[in-house]
Amino acid sequence: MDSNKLILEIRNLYAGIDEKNILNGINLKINEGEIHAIMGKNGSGKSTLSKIIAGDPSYSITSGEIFFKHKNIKDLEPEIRSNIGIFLGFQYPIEIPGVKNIDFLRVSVNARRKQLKESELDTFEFEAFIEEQLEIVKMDKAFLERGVNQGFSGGEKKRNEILQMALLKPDIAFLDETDSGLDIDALRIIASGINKLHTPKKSIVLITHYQRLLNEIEPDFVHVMHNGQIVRTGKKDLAIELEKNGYEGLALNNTGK
Amino acid sequence: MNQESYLRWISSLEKGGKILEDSQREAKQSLEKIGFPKKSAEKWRYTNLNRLENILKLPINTSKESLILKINSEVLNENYKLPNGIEKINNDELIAYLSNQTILNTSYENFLTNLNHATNHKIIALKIKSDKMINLEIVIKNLKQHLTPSKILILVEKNAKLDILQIIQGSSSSSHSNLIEIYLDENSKVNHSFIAIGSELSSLLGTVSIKQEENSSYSLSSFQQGWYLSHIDQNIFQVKGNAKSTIKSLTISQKDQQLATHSYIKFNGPNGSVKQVNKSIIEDNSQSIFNGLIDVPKIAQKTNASQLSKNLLLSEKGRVHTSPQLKIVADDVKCNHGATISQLEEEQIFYLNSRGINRNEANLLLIKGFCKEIIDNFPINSTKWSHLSKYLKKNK
Repeated sequence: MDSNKLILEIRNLYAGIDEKNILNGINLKINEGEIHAIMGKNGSGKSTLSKIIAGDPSYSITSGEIFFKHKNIKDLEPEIRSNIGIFLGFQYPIEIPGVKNIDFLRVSVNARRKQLKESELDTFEFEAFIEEQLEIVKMDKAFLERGVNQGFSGGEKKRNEILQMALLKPDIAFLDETDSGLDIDALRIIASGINKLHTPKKSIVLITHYQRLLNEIEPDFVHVMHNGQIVRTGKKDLAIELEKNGYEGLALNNTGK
Repeated sequence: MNQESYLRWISSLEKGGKILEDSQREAKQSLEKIGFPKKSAEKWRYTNLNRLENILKLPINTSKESLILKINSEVLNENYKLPNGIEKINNDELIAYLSNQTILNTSYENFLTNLNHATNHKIIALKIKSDKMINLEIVIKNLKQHLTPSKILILVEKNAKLDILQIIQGSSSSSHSNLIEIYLDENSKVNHSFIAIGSELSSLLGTVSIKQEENSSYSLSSFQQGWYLSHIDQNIFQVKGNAKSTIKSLTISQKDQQLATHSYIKFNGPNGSVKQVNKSIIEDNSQSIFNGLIDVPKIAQKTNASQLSKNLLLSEKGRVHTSPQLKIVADDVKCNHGATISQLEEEQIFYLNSRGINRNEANLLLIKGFCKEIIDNFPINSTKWSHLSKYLKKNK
């Protein structure tokens, strides 16, 4: 990257849930426009890291800092983090019966627009706006009229997540196992959607188990997490090596413990 | 309330007009027999009986001003000519009807019905004959520091259709005793919206009594909020089964209010169906009570009944008492019932937060979402009452 403009920096982050340590000293720097992939076994702390960055109150940070555009966001409410441009694509998107998807999306978009000092969209303006975005994930309009994620299949939920990313235009998006539970066609649609949303200004962090997503979306860096630390960082070939030899083959050891 | 002062209260009640005289006398006798409600009766177990007693201490409102009737959005007064398809029930017919007033042929304790008949001075009695949809709107206002009794009787003839919006308003220490009876003849269809909103120390004793003949369809959407004490009976009787009933109710209780809904649905023949959802939102240190009984005797084979009580408890001090019950003797039926009590889910709140929606807004969205299923059923003209309750506003 030419500009090397730092967008997110995680410094020596220790965190956990209910007295249980999960992250044991994470260090990570992400520049504008970069695509990072974080891989690792179940329980290595990948999802926890993304939830902590989004501000999930069920986790607590014991030490370390998180800087977004050079501002410490550690103590910001999750809605503020979203408003300033941080997005988390959920591994298991939550169903909210009774709340119409389109109403939810509009409230969410208007909260972000307010932060960007753009005018809020009324229902008609929003309908026109969302129609273009639906195309990105090839989502049927009918899903807008249903309850949020209510009765959606796994693949439909993931499309709805990427649709939200398209609508909110975040500066950095953490996508937690966006590829899990997708068949190959759905994976291609979602991957192509993510590629369309990626610009030289927008950064993306893909959290995944499998290399197949990385065949569709080319990462600049690949990190391997183990026991709450990033133990290896490399380029795309690291993912290929992982696919071939498995995590055991990497002879992982924790350096920081 | 001790027996002595209760009896004194009954004998102090003034006589209604000559049409109501007989039914009033009978009702007084019944009230004496039934006695003032006691905690030992399941139906009154959780009721704050002091609050009920206070209602009986209020003078009776005998003015006619408290009832406003609109038909197809025109206000009806004494001289107004009724449109085609709708008629007043004439006095002889009415007397005959009132003398045989057990619209629900049940042993269900009917303190409320008798209280209404014993105190009542006002009755609206209409016959619906048209198969074109008629829109009826009935607004029942309160008189401060008074008990306002009102009764509505509607006979819906074969193949006729009716949309009825019933509004009951309450304010400072006013009380209502309201009784609405609707008889649906074969093939008729009624959509009934019942909106009862009180404030401060107002109380409501309400009864909705429905009698359905075969192939009729009755749908009730009910909303209540803001009563210091409310007790609403919803009774549906399918005379020969083979009819369709739907009940969707929403109750919002706040402060130290106590709001109750008691429903009793009886199938007296085969192939009947009922779908009932009763939702409550409980705030502050209020109490919400739901008692539902679906009665499916042997004769009611192939009945399809479902009854669900869903409660959203928004405070630590709120109380919910819910008891959905099925009494089934028939062996070839599809019946289910259930109750849930929950709080707003943290997972859902975080999901909304992570999309830039703050906690207050997230709570509001989730609460609106909880109500939507019920509110969606109300007709468009109910939104003009939304100034009385923000919950009545439709999502758009």
